[in-house]
Amino acid sequence: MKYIMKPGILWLMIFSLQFHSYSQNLEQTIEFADKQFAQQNYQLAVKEYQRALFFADGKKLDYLYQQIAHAFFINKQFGQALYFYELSYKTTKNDSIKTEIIFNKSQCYLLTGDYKHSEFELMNLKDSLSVYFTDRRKFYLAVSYFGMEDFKKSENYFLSLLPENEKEGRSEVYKLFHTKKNLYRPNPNTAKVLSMILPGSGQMYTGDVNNSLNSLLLTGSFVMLGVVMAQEYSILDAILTAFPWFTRYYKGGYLSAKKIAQNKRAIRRDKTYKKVLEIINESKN
Amino acid sequence: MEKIHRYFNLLLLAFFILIINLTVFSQSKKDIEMLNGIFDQQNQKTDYKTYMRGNSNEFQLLASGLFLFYKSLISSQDGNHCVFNPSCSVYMIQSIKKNGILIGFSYGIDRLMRCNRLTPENYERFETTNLLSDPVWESNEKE
Repeated sequence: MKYIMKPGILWLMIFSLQFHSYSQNLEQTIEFADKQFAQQNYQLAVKEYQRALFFADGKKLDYLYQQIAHAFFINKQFGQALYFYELSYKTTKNDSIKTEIIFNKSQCYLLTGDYKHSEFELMNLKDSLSVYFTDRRKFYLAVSYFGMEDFKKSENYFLSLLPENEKEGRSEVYKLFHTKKNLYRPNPNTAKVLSMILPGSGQMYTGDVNNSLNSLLLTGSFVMLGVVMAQEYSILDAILTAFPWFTRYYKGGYLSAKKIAQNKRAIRRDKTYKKVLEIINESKN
Repeated sequence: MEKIHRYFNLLLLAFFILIINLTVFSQSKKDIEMLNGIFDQQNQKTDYKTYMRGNSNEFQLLASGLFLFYKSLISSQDGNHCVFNPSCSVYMIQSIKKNGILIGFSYGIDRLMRCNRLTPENYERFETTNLLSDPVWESNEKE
């Protein structure tokens, strides 16, 4: 009996130790990953969370996916972050975490310039949200519509974030959105057409004097070359020598005028957007 | 005693409202901070003046000057016709700086002759710009 009992107890101890060490492994790995995450070693944290996922066996999946997604998000790897947010969304049963994940996904889309998908994500939110989440949703929608150049909707959502008694702030936001110069000028198509009519005039319209003179002189010199060639030799000679160069820089000129206008307009829009955010930020103080 | 109890409850309620508001504002501010720069226009212009530095002889200085003239006055008025990254003019100046005026110039001419889309399978392609990758070789590397 003595010889039978001893190995039995020994086996029991070994078994219990095995279970204990197994659970310790998972907890310890997560703890270590959390520590790395807190110390901003995100790459190592992701590695450890993924190792924990391997042992997790269906436990804490939502937490692990979310932490991996956060780490990727902080490292600006938004594609990977979106993938893990999606997994986390599917595995979690907590409604408020689900809502938070939708906002995280929307952030990823906004930061990669995919405003349409950001809007889609926000549309997935339930209508019965708390005041905090409703305001957050309005803010994200306002930014998404601004990115999609739907300024009317963006303005409405930004205004809805300001309280009714903030008359000064509201009128400022209204003014920012309704001053054409802030959002629609310079018009790239106008710049392009102007440069088509007279090379360099589109660049002048956008305020880029150097490029304007450069374009005018370059295309002008090829016109002059064509005229001289036609007078000295023949029209065919002029067409064969100067015309290809003229068309190349004429086309390049009006396309560059359009590009310059687009850039300048984008800078003005960015300034307007930042001013609106400043007003909203001030209203929170 | 009942009055004190009521006041205490009111005070507790006010405290909770304050705490909730503070957390809401801090979170909104975090959002504003995060999304503040999403429409920033990053300066995509390359400063070609940097190629004027580090010339080892007068020929390289002349080539750098011609390159700067071409880039700022002529190429700036042109569309994007080059199929490579770096573009042929940048390749030429980089090649001259790496391999000297004679070998560098001949590599540049070789590149100009390859600037077409007839053999894209020979190069790696940048997915975002659809340009073909063809960085500068050093003369001893090519052999």
